[in-house]
Amino acid sequence: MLKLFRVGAVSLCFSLSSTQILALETGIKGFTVDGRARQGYSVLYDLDQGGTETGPASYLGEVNFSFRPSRTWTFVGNFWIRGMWNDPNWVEPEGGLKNLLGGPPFPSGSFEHGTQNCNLEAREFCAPNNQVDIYDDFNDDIIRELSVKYRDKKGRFTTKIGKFQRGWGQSDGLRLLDIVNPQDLRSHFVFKNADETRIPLWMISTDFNLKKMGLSKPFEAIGMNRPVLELNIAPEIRHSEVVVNNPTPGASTDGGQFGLPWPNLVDEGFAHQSGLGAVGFGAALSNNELDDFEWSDPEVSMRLKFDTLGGTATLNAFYGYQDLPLVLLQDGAVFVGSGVNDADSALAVAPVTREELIGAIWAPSFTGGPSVEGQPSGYLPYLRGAAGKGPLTTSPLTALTGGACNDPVNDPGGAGVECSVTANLDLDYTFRQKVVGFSFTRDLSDFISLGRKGTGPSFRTEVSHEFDKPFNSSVVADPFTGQLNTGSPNLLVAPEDVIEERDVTSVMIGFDYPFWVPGWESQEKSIFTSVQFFNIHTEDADNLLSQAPYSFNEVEDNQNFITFLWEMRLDNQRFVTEGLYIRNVQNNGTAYRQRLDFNYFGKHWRPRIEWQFFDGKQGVAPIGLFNDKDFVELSITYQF
Amino acid sequence: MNHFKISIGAVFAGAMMSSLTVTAETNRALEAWKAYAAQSGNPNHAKWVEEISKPEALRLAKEWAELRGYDAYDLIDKTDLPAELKPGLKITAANADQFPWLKDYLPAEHLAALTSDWGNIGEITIVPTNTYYMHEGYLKGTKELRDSGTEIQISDKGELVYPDGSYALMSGPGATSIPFLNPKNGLELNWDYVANSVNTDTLVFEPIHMRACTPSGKVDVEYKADLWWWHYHNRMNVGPYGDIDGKEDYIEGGSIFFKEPNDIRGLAGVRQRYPEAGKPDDFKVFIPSLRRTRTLTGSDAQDPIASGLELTWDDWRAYWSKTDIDQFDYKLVGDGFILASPEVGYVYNSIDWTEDQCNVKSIELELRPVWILDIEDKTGKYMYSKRRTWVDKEFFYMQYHMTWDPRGNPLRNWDDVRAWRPTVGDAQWTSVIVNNYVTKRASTLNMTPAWDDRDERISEEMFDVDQLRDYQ
Repeated sequence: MLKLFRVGAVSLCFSLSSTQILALETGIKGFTVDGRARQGYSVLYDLDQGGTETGPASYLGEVNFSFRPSRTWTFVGNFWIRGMWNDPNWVEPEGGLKNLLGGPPFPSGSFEHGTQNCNLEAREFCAPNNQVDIYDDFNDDIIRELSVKYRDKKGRFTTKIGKFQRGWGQSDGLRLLDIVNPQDLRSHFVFKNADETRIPLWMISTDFNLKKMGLSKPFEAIGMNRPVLELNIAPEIRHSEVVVNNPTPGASTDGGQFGLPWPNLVDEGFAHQSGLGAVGFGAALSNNELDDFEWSDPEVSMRLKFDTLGGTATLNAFYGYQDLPLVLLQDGAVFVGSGVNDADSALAVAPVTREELIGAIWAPSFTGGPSVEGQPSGYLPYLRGAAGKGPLTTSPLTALTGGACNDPVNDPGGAGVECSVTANLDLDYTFRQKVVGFSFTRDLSDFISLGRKGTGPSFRTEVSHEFDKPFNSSVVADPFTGQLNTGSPNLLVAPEDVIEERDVTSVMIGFDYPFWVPGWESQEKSIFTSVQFFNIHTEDADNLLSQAPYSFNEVEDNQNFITFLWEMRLDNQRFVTEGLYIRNVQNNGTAYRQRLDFNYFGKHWRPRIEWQFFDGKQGVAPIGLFNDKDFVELSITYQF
Repeated sequence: MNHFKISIGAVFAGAMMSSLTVTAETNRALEAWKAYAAQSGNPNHAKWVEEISKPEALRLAKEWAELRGYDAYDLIDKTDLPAELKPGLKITAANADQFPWLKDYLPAEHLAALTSDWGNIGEITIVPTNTYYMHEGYLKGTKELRDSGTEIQISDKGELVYPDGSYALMSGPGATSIPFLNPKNGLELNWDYVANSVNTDTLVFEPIHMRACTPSGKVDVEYKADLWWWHYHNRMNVGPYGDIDGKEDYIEGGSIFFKEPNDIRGLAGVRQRYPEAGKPDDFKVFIPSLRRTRTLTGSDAQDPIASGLELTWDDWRAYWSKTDIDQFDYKLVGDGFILASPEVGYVYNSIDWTEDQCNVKSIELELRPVWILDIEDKTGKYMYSKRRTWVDKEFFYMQYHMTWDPRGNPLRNWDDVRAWRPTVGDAQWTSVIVNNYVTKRASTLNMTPAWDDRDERISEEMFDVDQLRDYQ
């Protein structure tokens, strides 16, 4: 803890001393410099193991240069460096691989964050947390914006080239049309400001003012006034960034308390499945990505904005790539002499092909035909036999290694050495994303007058339709028997057997309203309130995983979310309190974020207290993933 | 009152030490200022004299006086004023009691500020009355209406219309003119004030500094922004002339892009006014933390434009709420004279601020002829139960402004220094004082108006929030 504070303090002091050599008044017309430094400290509570823990301490330093020498040119350079320190002593009691020695139902080991020296023999898994210490890749992390904008003198078009972000749509919180940029979910997942989660892209964005170009008549003829066409071409291909808490030795990564939880590998679901932890089984996740720059096949998006029906509407189209991965089995490895998938301590590591691995997992018997008690079988029949759901077969690893590997069910701790298997899974980001959409917003004051001040609400709506969205299937057929399986085995079949494509139609309806409280005569400012209703409809949604491998819940036919945002400013608006409520209707998940800003310290200092509360089903994204990660954070920002 | 009154003509005759034959080569305001500048020895005053001495300034003053049928001095001639009320008089907390007539001319809030420990005014100096006028476009437009016999009317809905019912502020001379040179009632006076708009086709503050001060008179929070205002139709003062393409549905627009402090940098807002009664303003903001444009409700422009400021969206240029006869009564409750800040900001700032700009070391005030306009809320739902505006009889813009909250308590005042260009007649702003008498907090605004290249640099980019988002 002390170390955490020391490092934070040093960083903040460095940032502050750096800022003082920069002058706000540059003396050059049109040239501005500004920036900020932020340090946070948080405490986690509601942990599975009870008590409280030091939470992630995020920090940020940012500097922004802007130069506008004329009405036609604008140059922006915005750089930041971020990171997050995690408590190096933080241990999740159930965060690791299944314990080979624990016996059925083979519970998970523990997962100690922030270290790479742990007692694997005792099933104490660990990983260094340098994944979140600092985001320091210059192109991927440090450049927040580097752009030049040219505006035609006659206003016919504006072109912006560089690395930047574009916000689309009318929804807050959930992204329906706001998909031009992927998201950085490494720090506090999705529960941050949108501008800090969007990943900027190298792109070219051009707005064509069709009226000034003399092309607006056909649009105006059908009531689409002042049409402006935005065209974005992004050759840089990025996907959303996450860090998985992966305890697999040799592939260990640590995203800290807000890293995505290691999938709980369990063979459960249908009656014939064992219900046991996938003991001796690990997974190594690696990204299958496109090239950093796809010059010949970039992401392309268009938005036609126009005024109609007293409001502003857009028609949107996006042709790009999925931001979140599909999980595809590639191949595997057998670790002889290590029950914890540890190449360093293994006597031998034997690679296996995907076909061999599928056979070793699913085959009812190694001799053909159905499973036979006392005879070797594939891994799943063996596990199910151990649970009394079928004939008690013997370990496939024992058989395949000629007895070198111990059989943890039939002879726990007996002959042979411990062995384990790693399935190499691709997180595949190469699938196309094809979306069209529509948004509309309008002030309803001319129809509706409500409340103490007779104010009206603003209406927002957004509709998106994604064609052929790929999902991992939540139910797969046993490649040998055809019997259906669900749960973790879904990931252990050939790619062609696990991907399903569906159309997804999403709708958001929202209202914003400035609320003047009846009877509160001295109210200085309206309370900003915003409510949103989402319906996400997936065609033929049965048997689709919402997001493998992090969330094994199934997609609903109609998934509903409700959000409510309110912001109230008191004491001459120096004390700002903002609350955000999110409800996942079908999965009974609730998240609430409360911010308290104390803007009492002039223009430079901004202290904030933030509380986030999560209550959801374990493993159901996004809320349930952080069910045990409620926290309170104090942060201080120095800005100039 | 037992103080001695003599006619103002005699006062200024003494000051000027010469006979006042008004010709195209001079006017009484100029002569008064010449005398006063010689007396004060203040180089700012000398520069001001130089500016109002220019032939274009004298010509415009003469033509506007002919159009109106009077200038400020003609109106002053017709009243009796206290003998002490003359250029050069200095008023402080120590001597204010010696001038019991002050309450008849000096806004009560300014008088109280002499002894207040917040929003304090250390010293008031009376300067000569100027003669003000609007720019050539308004002169031409108003003459055209007169010469063509076109009578601008107020519709049953309270809208300003031509005889054929079309909106006067959307085309032709009505868009750039004073519709009622001699307003007969509050609604006509209100429309004169509205038609004045900001008395320039393109207003540019690059930047505007806004400070909110605590009840103890210290800076609480400060903001820096660029701010613009565009007159959309029949533009005659700054290019592009005529009408602005793409703004056919609106009368005018105001916009702002915040540059400091950092946590709201990039916050941009655009508010545009429709001519139709009952149609709320188009009101959009770009929120940098969302990187998204949000439509606000035009029916709620009663929030401060930034935390802590006593400046609401409806208080731009003191009064920018939409004319609405269903919600408000407009009453012409009288006329007279008031001591208010001179519009000399093009040459110098007549407010000398304390270092923190929360208080005033000294301020210059001049005597202005005004109509008094009361705008009263009929619904009980507006932030002000009443606005009282002292509308200048030469300038058709307010000289002083005061509001009361729904319980009838004095709420906010407004006094400003316009940056008025005598040779052109157009104006921007230099400084504004806004005090809240409930919370005892002052907000002060200091603007740097830009005059050059406005036709080139300012475009629809500033009035389309989806373009303004990338301004800097």
